[in-house]
Amino acid sequence: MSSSHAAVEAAARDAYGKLVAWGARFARDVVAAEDALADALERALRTWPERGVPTNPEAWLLTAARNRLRDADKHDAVRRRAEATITQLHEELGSAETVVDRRLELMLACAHPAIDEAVRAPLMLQVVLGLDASTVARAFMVSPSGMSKRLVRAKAKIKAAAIGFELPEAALWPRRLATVLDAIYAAYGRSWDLGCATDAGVDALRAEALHLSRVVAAAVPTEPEVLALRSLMLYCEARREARTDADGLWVPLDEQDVTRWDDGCLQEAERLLHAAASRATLAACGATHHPASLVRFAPGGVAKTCGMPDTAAFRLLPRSEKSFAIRRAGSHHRLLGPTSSRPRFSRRMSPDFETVSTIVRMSATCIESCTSITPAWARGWGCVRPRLASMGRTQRLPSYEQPTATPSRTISPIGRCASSLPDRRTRGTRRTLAYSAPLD
Amino acid sequence: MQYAILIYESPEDLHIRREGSEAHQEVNSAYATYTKALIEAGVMRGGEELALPDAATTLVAKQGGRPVVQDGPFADVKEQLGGFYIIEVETLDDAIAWASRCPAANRCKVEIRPIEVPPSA
Repeated sequence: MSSSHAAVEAAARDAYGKLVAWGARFARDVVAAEDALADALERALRTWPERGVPTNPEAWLLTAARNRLRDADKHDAVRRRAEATITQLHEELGSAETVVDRRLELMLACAHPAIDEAVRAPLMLQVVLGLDASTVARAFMVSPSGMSKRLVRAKAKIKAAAIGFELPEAALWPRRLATVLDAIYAAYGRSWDLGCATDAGVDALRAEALHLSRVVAAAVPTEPEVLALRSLMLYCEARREARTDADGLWVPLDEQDVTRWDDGCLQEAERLLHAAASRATLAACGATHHPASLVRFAPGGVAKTCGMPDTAAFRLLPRSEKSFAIRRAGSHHRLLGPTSSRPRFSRRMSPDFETVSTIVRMSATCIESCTSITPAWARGWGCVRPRLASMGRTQRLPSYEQPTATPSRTISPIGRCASSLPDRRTRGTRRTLAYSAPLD
Repeated sequence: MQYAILIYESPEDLHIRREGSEAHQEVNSAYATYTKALIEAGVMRGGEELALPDAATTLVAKQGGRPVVQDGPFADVKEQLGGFYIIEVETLDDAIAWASRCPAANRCKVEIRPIEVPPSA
C-alpha cells in the first residue's frame, strides 16, 4: 500500500465520525453526509498520490466534503431553508484548523426516541464509528440484510422527520444517554471480539470507544452511568497488557501478572467509579445504604472491600445482564440453602434497591465459585440477550456446584475471550479472582 | 419544516363531542387556548376540527369498476381522526414539544407527520 493510501486510511479512521457528524449537521441528513465524505475520500485517493498528502488531511477532507454538500444544497429546497445555520457553520469552519467535534450531538440524534429502539445503538456504531452493516449485524447478532434495511430506514427517518442535530435540552438527555452508552460499550466489546489488538483497525475502534466515553463523561459529568461505564472500560483497559501471554494466548484473570496492570488507568477508573457510586447511591437509595463491600485498588493493586460501587455498578448493568445476574444469584441462593446470609430489607427501600443489593451480595459469592466468567459476559452487551438464549438451549450456565473449569487456552474463541473480559459488573469478580485478599 | 399534528380521538372524547355537554365546552376552550398559543408563537400554518366520524363517507376502489361508496370512516378502529394542525418549526423535537401541549396529548393519540416537500420547490 502506498504512503498516500495509508494516509487516506489513517485520516478516514481518525476523523470519520467527526466528519460525518459535521456533515450531518450541515446537511441535516446522515446519508448525504456519508456520501459526501465517501466522495471526499475517493477524491483524496486520486489526488494525494500526485500532489502529496496535505499537512492537515482532516481539514482537506472537510473542505472536499463541504464543497460536495454545497453543490447538493443548490438543488435542495429543504436545505436552502436552513441557510442561516449553514452560513453560521461555514463561518465557524472558515478559519478553524480542526473540525469541531459534534459526535455527541450526532449520537444523541441517533438515540432519538422517534427512531426504532432496536436500531439506535447499531445506527450510532455505523454512523459515528464507520462500521459496515455486516460488522454491526454481527455485534448485535442479527442478519446483515435485516440490519442493513433497518439502518437505511433509520437514516431516512432522520432526514424525513427532520430530527435535529443540536444538543437536546437537558431534560431529554437521560433516556437518550442510555443508548449512547450501549453503543460505546458495544464498540468497546467489539474490539475485544476482534482479538488482541495488534491490528490498527481494532486498535482504532477501541481507542475511539474510549475517546467517546471521555467525550460523554466530559459533557455530562453528573450522570452516574456515564462515569461508571467509563470506569468499567478503564478497568478493562488497565488489564489489557496482562491479558495475553508471550504467545498471544489469553491469560485467565487469576493468573494475570498484576505488575503489568496499568496503575494510572486503575486509579482513574477507581476515581470515576467512586464518583458514580456516590451519585447513583444518592439518587437511588437515599442514605439507607450500608457500605459493605466497596472495592478499592491501592496503587500496588491490593484490593480492599466495601459495597457501594458494587451496587452502583450493578445498577448500571443493562437489563439483559441484570436478569442474567439474577438467575445466577437465584440458583446460587437455592444451592446454599435457606441458611445463607440473605440480606434483610426494610420495606421503605425501593424494590429496585432490594434486588440490587441481593444480587450484589449473592452474585459476588457466586462468582467466587467460578474461576471464569461465562462467555455471555465477554461480549458487548448488545448481544448478551440472544447469546443467553442460545446458551440456554445448548449448555448449562456454571453454577456453584459445577464451577466452570479454569478457562482452557485451547477452547473456542468465545471461551478464550471469556477468560478475561470487559463487562460492566466485574468489580466483585476482579476482586475475588485476582486476589483472595481477606476482607476487612 | 412543516409538520401535521394529527389528533386521534378516543371513544370517550368522541362521546363528549357527541353529547355536547359542559365537558365539551371545556375541551373547546382548551383547544382555543392552544391554537392561540400556536398563532402567537408564529408556528401555526393551518388546521381544522373534523366533524364526527359518523358523518364520514368512504370511497373504496373496486378492481375494474367504479369506486364503491360506503358509510363511515375508512378504518374501523376505536380512535378516529378528529382534527389536525399544520405547524412550521425547525426540528422534530420542536414539533414534539408543541404536540405535547395539545389538549389531546394527555388523553388520546397524537401523531406528528412531516409534510412532504416537493423535490425542487
